[in-house]
Amino acid sequence: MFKKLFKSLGGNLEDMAKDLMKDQQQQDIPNGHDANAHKDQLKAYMNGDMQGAFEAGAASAGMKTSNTAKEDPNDPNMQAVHGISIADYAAGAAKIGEGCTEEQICIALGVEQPMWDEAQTTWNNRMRDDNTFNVINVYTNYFGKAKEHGKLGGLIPNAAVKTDVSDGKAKEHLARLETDKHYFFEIQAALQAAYENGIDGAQWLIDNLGLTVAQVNGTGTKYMNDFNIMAEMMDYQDQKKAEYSKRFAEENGTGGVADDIEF
Amino acid sequence: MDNNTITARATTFFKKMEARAGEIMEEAKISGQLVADADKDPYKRSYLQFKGAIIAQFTSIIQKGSTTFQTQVMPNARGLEMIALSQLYNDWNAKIVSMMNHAFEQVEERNLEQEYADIMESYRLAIEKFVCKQCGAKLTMDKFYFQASYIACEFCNTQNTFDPGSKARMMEHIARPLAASRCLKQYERFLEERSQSGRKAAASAYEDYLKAMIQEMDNLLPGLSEQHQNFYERMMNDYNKLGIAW
Repeated sequence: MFKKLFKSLGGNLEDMAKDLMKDQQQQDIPNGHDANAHKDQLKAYMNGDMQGAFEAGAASAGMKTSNTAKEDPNDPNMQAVHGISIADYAAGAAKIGEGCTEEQICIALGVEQPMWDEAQTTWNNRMRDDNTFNVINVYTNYFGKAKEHGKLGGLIPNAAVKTDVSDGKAKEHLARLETDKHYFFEIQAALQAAYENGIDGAQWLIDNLGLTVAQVNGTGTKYMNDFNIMAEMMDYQDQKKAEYSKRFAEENGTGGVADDIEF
Repeated sequence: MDNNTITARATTFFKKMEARAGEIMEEAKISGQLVADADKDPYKRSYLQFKGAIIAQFTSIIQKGSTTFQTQVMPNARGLEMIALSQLYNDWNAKIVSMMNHAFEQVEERNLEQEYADIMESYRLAIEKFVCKQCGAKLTMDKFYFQASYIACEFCNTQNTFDPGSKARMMEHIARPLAASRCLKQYERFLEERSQSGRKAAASAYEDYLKAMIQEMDNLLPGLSEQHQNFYERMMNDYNKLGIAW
C-alpha cells in the first residue's frame, strides 16, 4: 500500500518536474551556459529519454560520457606509456580482475614489470585528474571489451578459481550475462543481497556461477552505461534483491534473529 | 478493553525487539574491534563481511517491527489509540536505527599510520637483500620506490629490476587517506570557516588544507609531484566550479 502511494506520489512529482522544465524552457538561458545543450537536455527528459538527458546534461557541463568520449591521438592524456595504450591498460586491468597475474599481462604485452607499473600509475593519475571524464570513459569502454583485445583477450588465469561449477556451465552463465540483461541485473541483485546478509558475494559467484566479480561486471558495461536500461531495470533488480535477501537470510541465519519474538 | 490489550501487547513486543537489538549492538561493540584488528587483508573484507551481517540483523528487526506494526497492530487499533501506537512505533524505529548507526562508531576500521609503518618495514627488508645480479654489490636506493623500478649498479652499471614487494605497492592506495588524516587540523579549520562564512569565503582555507595534503602525498610518494599538482588543480576546480570539497 505504501509503495503504491509513493509510486503515485513519484509519478506526480515527475509530472510537476516536467511542467516546471517546460516553463523554464520558454525562458532565456543565462549567459555562460550552452543554450542548445540545455534545451536538448530538457527535450530528452520530456521524451522520457534518460540517456539523452544525461548526455546533454554532461555536454552542457563540459563532461564526456561513454558515448561521447574520444580517443584523440593528439590528446596528451591519451599517449601510451612505455607502449602501453589505454586499451592495453584497461584490458590488462580487466584480466587481472579475472584472476590473471600482472606477470601474465606483462608477458602477453611484451613489456617488463617496471613498465607496467609506471603505466598503471600514469593511467590512474590521468583518470583521477581529468575533470572532463574523457579518460575514464575511454578506459571503461575498453574495459568492457577486454575480450576483443588482440594480445590479452584470450588470456586465461594461470591459477583458475576453485569451484565445483564445470567449465562449460560457467561459460553458459557468462554467455547468458552477455545477452540477457534481466539475468545480469538479477545477479547484481544477488550480489548486493549476499553482502547485506554477511555473505562474501564474490565467493558466492565463484561457488554458484563459476565466475569472478570482474567477469560478471565485465559483461555489464554496456548495460551500466545506458541510463534507459538502468531506469528500466531498477524495479526488477529491487524485486530480485528482495527474493535473494529472503533466501540468504534463511540460509545464513541473519533473518531469523527475532523469529522467536511474537506479537 | 480490546484496545488496551493491543497497546499492552504492542508495548511488550517492541520492548522485546529493542532488547534483542541491544544484544546485537553489544555484540558488535565487543567483537567489532577484535574482528577489525584480526583482519590482515588490506581491504578489510572479513571485517566488512562481519559488519554487513550485523547490519542485516538490525535490518531484519526493523523489517519485522514495520510489518507487524502495519499488518497486526494498526488494523486492530481504534481512534485515539492509533495515534499513541504510531508514536510508540516511530520512537522504537528511531531507537533501533540509532543503535544500528552507533554500533560501529567506536571501531577503528583501519589504522593508516600502522599500515604505513608495516609498509616501510617490509620495504626496508626488500632493500636490505637487494644486490646487483651481475656483481653482487649492495645497491643503494636514492628514494622510496613504491613500484618495480630499474636500478643501475654504481659499480658495474648493470641494470637491475627492483621489486619493492606487494606491501610497498599498497602505498599508492593509502597515500591519499593517510595524507588527509595527517592534515586533519587544516581540514577542521576549513569546515569551521565554511560553516561560519560560507563556501566562497572558505576557499582559501580549503586551499591551505589541499596544499598541506598534497605536500604529504609528495613525501609519501616521491616522483609524483607533477601528478599530485594536477590532482590539486582538479580538486580546486571542483570546489570553485561545482562546490564539491572531496
